[in-house]
Amino acid sequence: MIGNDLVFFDTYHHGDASRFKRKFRKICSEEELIILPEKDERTYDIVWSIKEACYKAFQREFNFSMKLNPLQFEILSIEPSLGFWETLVNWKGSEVKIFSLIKNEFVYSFTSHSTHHYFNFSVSMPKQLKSKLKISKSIPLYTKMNNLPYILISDQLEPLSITHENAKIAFAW
Amino acid sequence: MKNSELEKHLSEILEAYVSDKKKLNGLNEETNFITDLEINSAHLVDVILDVEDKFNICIENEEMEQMINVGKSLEIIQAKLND
Repeated sequence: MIGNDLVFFDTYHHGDASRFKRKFRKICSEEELIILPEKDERTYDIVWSIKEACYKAFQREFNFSMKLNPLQFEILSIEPSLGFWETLVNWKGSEVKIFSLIKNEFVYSFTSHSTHHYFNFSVSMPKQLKSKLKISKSIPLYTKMNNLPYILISDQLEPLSITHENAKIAFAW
Repeated sequence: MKNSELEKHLSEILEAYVSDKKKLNGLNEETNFITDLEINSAHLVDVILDVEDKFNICIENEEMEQMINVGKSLEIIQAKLND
């Protein structure tokens, strides 16, 4: 169950308070809204990132077609602390734990199943990661099978989740 | 409303969320918001809200689920306007 998502906190939320309320209701049920510590723009981004990481993990596992249904990924519990949230999410009876790392500029969420993460927001990031993982220059950093990415670690192909916002990328495997 | 007119309005909405505006030139029914237009998935709900505001309609969750390409979005908007 590999899934990750990166959201940079920015100013894309526009419109008045009533629009923002409608926006939150598109991604959260009444029950979820009750357990959220805040209902501000930053929290919206964190919730989106949690649900998107979850969506990617389940989509990979169950191979369903692309859809926009954040309400289907139901947050059951949240343990928020400074800079880190631990969340339990349910999708059609299957539960997954999501960890969210919250920094000043961004939130990075990932399933608890992934053991390795790499994000370094420079254009040379793939090159640096290859060097770190001692992957030969002649071998691509990752490959795709059935349109799903895999990374070569110690001669083994490991499922890989990639998230990017503009030129900024994060990998989880 | 004519489909061409709907598509024009939808294109205007999408423009705000597409970095490479040239991608809007070849808009067709199969155009996917994420894979073709490279709209950040975090902005998709904004597209839905803009559609609701523009056409004065309410998009239900089951309809929103399908609104990831131009064709399906136009179909849903048209059906809502005909209601």
